[in-house]
Amino acid sequence: MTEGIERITTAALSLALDASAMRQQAIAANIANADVPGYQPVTVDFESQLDTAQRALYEGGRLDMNMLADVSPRLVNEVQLQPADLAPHVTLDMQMAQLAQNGVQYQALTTALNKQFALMSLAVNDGKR
Amino acid sequence: MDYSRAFAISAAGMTLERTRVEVAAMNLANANTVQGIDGVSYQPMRVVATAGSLAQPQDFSEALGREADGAAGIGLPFAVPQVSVQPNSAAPRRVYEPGNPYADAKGYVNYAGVDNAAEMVTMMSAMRSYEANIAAMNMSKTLAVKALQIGSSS
Repeated sequence: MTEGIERITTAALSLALDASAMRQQAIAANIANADVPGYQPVTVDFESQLDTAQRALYEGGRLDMNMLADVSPRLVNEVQLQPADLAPHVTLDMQMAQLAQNGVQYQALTTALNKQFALMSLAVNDGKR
Repeated sequence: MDYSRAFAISAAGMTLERTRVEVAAMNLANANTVQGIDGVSYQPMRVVATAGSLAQPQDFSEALGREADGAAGIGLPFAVPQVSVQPNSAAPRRVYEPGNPYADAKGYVNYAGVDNAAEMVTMMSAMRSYEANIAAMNMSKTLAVKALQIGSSS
């Protein structure tokens, strides 16, 4: 219904929220498995997929919906471990720092989405609050 | 955001750490028990954790979520720790106490082979990891509440 209005902003923010939510789960899994021998820490690959979209934005000044078509957050191993490597590879302090950072990132994204919807609400209410 | 999975991951981590604390407490409580004549004595336990996948889907929504994940292809499955408690094959601590009724022919008493220092260290590290799991779970809760507030008039 409202997809015509600033559709790209909503789509990009939704994708980023998905990535942030998945990153929260990845960090939770890393913390939960911190004491498990042979556990491979995981991380989320998302920002690196936005390179082409960012370049297009800088060069063309606008973002095309097709740029985000094949962007999706993916869970990847943080380091490649040898099968016999049983030493713990999760650093709890790094994970806690990432947890805090990701939490702030998520809240920033929800705030941005709220502002976007508030703009839309302003438009449909004819400028009246 | 899929709250149930985030909570399940942190809960599994907390279960592991709580088991480690419980087993350490059990070992410490039995550290000075004497081996009886019949040979039945306290065997110190240890917690062995292995990484497994999330449990089988419990209900419809969970199964549906899994199907959706499969279709989207999130890459890897999330690992959660699986806990098992196994006997520690530590040799009994032999103390020379000739007057003890449980002493053997040479006057030695077999106490349970519990390493007090190691148990205390286990308890400390388990406590810290438990706190980290709680922090992760609280953050998941905060994010879920924030997600529910999207679109509400601010």
